[in-house]
Amino acid sequence: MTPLAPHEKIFVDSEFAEDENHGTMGCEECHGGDPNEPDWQKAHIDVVKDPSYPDPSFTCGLCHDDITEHYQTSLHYSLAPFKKVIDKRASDDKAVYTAVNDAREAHCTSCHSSCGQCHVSRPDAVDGGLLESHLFQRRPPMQTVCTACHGSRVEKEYLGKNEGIPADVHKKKYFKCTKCHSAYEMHGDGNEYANRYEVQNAPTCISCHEEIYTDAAENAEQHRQHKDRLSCQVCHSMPYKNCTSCHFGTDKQGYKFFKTQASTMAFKIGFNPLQSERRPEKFVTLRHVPVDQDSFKFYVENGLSNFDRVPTWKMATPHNIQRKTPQNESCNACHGNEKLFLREQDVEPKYAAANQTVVVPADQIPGKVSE
Amino acid sequence: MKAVRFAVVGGLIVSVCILFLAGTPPILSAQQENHCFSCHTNPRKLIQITREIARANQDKPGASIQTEGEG
Repeated sequence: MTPLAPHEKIFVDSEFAEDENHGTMGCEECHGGDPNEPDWQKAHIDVVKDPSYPDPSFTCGLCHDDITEHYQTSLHYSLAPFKKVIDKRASDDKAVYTAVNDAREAHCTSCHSSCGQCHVSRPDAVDGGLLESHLFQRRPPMQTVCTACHGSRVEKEYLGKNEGIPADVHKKKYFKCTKCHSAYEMHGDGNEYANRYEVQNAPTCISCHEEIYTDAAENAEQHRQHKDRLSCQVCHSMPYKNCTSCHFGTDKQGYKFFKTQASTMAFKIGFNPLQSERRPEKFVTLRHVPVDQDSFKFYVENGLSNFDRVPTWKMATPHNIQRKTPQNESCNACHGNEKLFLREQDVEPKYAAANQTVVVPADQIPGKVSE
Repeated sequence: MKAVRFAVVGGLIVSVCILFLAGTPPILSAQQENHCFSCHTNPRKLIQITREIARANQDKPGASIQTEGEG
């Protein structure tokens, strides 16, 4: 993503005044401040940089109330799964939990989005700056909004930036994020989901590849045999990035920082930790996420004393899909191939207890077949 | 006849007013002496002000240098 010069971040295209919907309002109607004050410092007293966060009801919501009605349940706004997972791992001691919760809000929740931080500016988490000089963007641009935040994993996978691994097959068809991830998914639907895989409007492969289990499909027999046993990514994903550990705090000057260990590329199949009617598969691809028993140590000792309640290898839907992958070259490229599965020896000893439910024992690895 | 001529002239005046006034409010609302708009659409002014701000904050790093790894 090309960085913006400081003045470019706040430059407004005069064409904005011709936007018949948004240009008819005075700047101060959304942002506050004093438009009659010639001194810029005085004019900016009480200015609100992002009037759509935390509550867009009296700005965007005045016209787009059908969308802002459910904004609190948009995972991009609420980051609710972060809280749910951290709460599960957090200490039962009230004082310790409060310290963990405050730190979570200061660090983890600062990467939220809002109406404005998708449709008007780059997200604050990547230093902001207006998109197209304040001209509202109906579809958020992929590389200055979506992958500005989802850069370490999704962007590198999807665009083929991980060494030796090609771009996702959907990228080669020129798909942008919004082709699969609809506005309905992004804006929330009023339901509070525990994780993004539960979201009813989230994309599914089958919604485009609807013939995959019928006789009309190529490899129909293979697809039918594995239906509901494996996620699509188990056969069609390439190796993807895994991150380890995350420690965070504030430095002497009061700036927030985080430290994660070096990322590693791997492909691991494990037991589905989120098996449900919507995700019935036994085996899914798992990604190691950056968390550690001591993640909150800067703020409180033993903050995540129930760390082992949630696996650190998490269900993943890597965005580097290929029709042909090393593991689907033949039946026995996967069957009996222990290296592809998450085994006990793949898990750091300090995370072993947390991952008991997703590690695949030798006798559960599908055996070789006669081809 | 006088009444007809009066009606035609009156109608013309009203039409011209509608034609011009209907198109202007959106442009006017932002282009009136509105210092937000006049400053934020002027790159020269913005460069000058952002340089002023940068000079005032030159001792502040802007973000922690302790951050390591991918987020």
